Amino acid sequence: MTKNGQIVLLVWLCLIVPEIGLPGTAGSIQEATSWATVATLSAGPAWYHAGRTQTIDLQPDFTNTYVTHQEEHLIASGEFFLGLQKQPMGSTWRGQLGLAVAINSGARTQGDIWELSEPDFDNFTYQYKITQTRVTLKGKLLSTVFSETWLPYVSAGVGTGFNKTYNFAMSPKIFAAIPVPAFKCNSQTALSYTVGAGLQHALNQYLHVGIGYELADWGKSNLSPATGQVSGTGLEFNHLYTNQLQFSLSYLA
Amino acid sequence: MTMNKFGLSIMMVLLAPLGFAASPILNIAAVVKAPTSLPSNTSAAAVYRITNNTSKLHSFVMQNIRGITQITTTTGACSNPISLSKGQSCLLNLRIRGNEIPPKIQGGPVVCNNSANPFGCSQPANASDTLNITVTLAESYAESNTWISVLVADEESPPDQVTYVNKIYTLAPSVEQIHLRVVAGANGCPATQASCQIYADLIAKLRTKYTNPLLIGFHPDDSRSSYTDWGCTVNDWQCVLNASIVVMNAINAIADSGGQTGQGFNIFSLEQSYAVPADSPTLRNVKACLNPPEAASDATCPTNVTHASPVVKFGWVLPSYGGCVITVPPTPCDNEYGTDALDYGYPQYYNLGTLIGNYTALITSGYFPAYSTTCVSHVNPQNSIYIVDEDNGDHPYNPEIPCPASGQSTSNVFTYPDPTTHTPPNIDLVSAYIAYIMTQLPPISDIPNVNGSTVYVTFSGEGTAQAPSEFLGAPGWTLQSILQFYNGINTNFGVLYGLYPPPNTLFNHGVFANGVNPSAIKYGIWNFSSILDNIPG
Repeated sequence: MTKNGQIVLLVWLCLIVPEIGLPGTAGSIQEATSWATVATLSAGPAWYHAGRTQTIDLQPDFTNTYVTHQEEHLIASGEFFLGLQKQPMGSTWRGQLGLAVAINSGARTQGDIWELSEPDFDNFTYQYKITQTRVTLKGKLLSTVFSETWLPYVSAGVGTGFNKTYNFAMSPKIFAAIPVPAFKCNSQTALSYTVGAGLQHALNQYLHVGIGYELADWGKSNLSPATGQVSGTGLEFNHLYTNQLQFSLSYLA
Repeated sequence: MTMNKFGLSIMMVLLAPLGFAASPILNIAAVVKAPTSLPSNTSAAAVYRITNNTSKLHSFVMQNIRGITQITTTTGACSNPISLSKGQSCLLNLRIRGNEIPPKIQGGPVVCNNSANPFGCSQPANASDTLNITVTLAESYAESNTWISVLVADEESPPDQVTYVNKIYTLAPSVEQIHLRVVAGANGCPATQASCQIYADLIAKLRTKYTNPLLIGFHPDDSRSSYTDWGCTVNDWQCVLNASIVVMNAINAIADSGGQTGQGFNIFSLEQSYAVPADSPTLRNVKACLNPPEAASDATCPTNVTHASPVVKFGWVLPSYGGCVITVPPTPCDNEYGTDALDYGYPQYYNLGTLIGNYTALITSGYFPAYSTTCVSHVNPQNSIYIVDEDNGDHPYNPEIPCPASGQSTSNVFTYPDPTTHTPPNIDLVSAYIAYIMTQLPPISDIPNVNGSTVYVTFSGEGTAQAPSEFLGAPGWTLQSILQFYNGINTNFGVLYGLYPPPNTLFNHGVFANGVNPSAIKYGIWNFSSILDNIPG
């Protein structure tokens, strides 16, 4: 984050939490105040499984089977969390509650198309992408039971995923096969949630770094039907799960 | 997840390591390929074999390409929509119109499950089988009727020989033979040498105009009304023959006076139904007059008939659809061909009304334009449908193709107006008609043993200016439409072959299978003066 960005961020914090005021000079680790504002930026790689094989009725007499390649894929994912932290006097627990906004680099899924759902007509490959912007109400529970500077935590969030499916494309495997109209891109909202756990280390009174794991369910997403498709939707996920390794940087004030 | 889908997923997991086969739903293979370039004023054909590779009956539709229509029939051809059971094949017959298709077509034909919302689309398995057509300018093709190999005149040159020769060259720049008309009595030649000189001058002008060697034919009016003009008594055909050869010799003497030989007439050509009997023995005896060294040993030039000097080849304009027409038992019918009889045969392809048998798919499939078949009875169409190329009204054929206009009893394909343009000629109809009967009738259907003779299929150039009959010289016909007609019949040979492939071929007696491919035939035009009249300038 640039210096200008830091200033903007701090000004914004002041506006919404005016009673906190600007932090003092960073120095030795001190006892945190019982209330604090916390901003956490986290990022890292996320793995997901590409989905399931689906059979779609395109026309009354024409059905295709989309055989998804059973493989793991990797995307980049990042989240910004802003909330309040509370540590009850004398407690070894610290609780955080706030809003998290997560974005990612777009998940690709690919496979083979069996025309007429017959393995003999394994004539195309297909692929498309899904991306999610997620806004969740997120809580985090940290513990100082072991140490004041090494804090294990668990987290959970629930909210809305804004899922976009796009860039469906099919490529013939043989010259004789001609691609038919593609499924269309689609935007939809879905119930989305996360659960996670990890370890956070306090560098000083204000800065924490962390490492953790987070499972996210993107919820439902689907492509829109192709031109001429008589019923149903395009390819879909009821759930898309990502498993993320999270590296985080938190600022408390 | 339904049980079916669940089962499919299990199967997929089990089979995944094996891999799956990529193969098109339909196999599409070219039988007759479309041309790569198509002049905008012509049409072409393509034929593809479509095979259903699926495990059950499916219906398919070719995706629309502007200017390309599917021709359907009951014999082997694909219906529309194309309905095929497992493993079944049909022939997709396409007619491609140069004036309607986009400037360039690359790819296809594409056949899908339907046309409105296509899925499961296939194209030919080999890229080289796909359509790859570029439309070329009609102008680049115009006035190049290089397909005309022979011209047979039925009238003499007008006094302006230069214009006559120029127009002949414009009509047929690649002609091999030009048969000049010599009227009965030859305008007084040889008694009047000036008359002989006029013929010799015309020959000289033609030889100057054409850089390639020409064979010039002496084509006298030896009709049954010509006896008196030749100075003969009625029915004395030997006298007419003698008088003709005397005139030919006199003109040749002038033409060869420069010391060269062969500069005059090279062929003596008779016409059907005229004074000289057209039976095999007579023709062989006439050959003994025209070319004694080549005549049969038992042939004798008739008494009082002079010999040709120098010797000439012998040709005969045969009757309509003539081929194997001389049957004088027990003489084999092809005895008139060969060095000791006819060197050349010119069967006429006109003056015909004929039954088209039970090939009514030609009507229902659109091979014959719908507007030309409006009086065809679909109740029992396999019986007695007359198609007519020309009908002078004396003995009307009551044609059903083309259907006469209301109040008329006759109709002629060469002058039949397309109801949408109201302007004859209608090239599609004429070329469809001619290609059809050419594959049905002699001499193509009865391949005579020509014994080394050359046979030229001859179309008529008549028009109302000189004759009551109207063919390629009828009003409205141009050099360009004559070329379209020629290209059209060749296109239709391909269409017909696709519609009626062996063993159901229309090309009877194995043309394609055993012998002559009609697209390899040489062509002539008989009585072309009306065509010349239609050439400006």
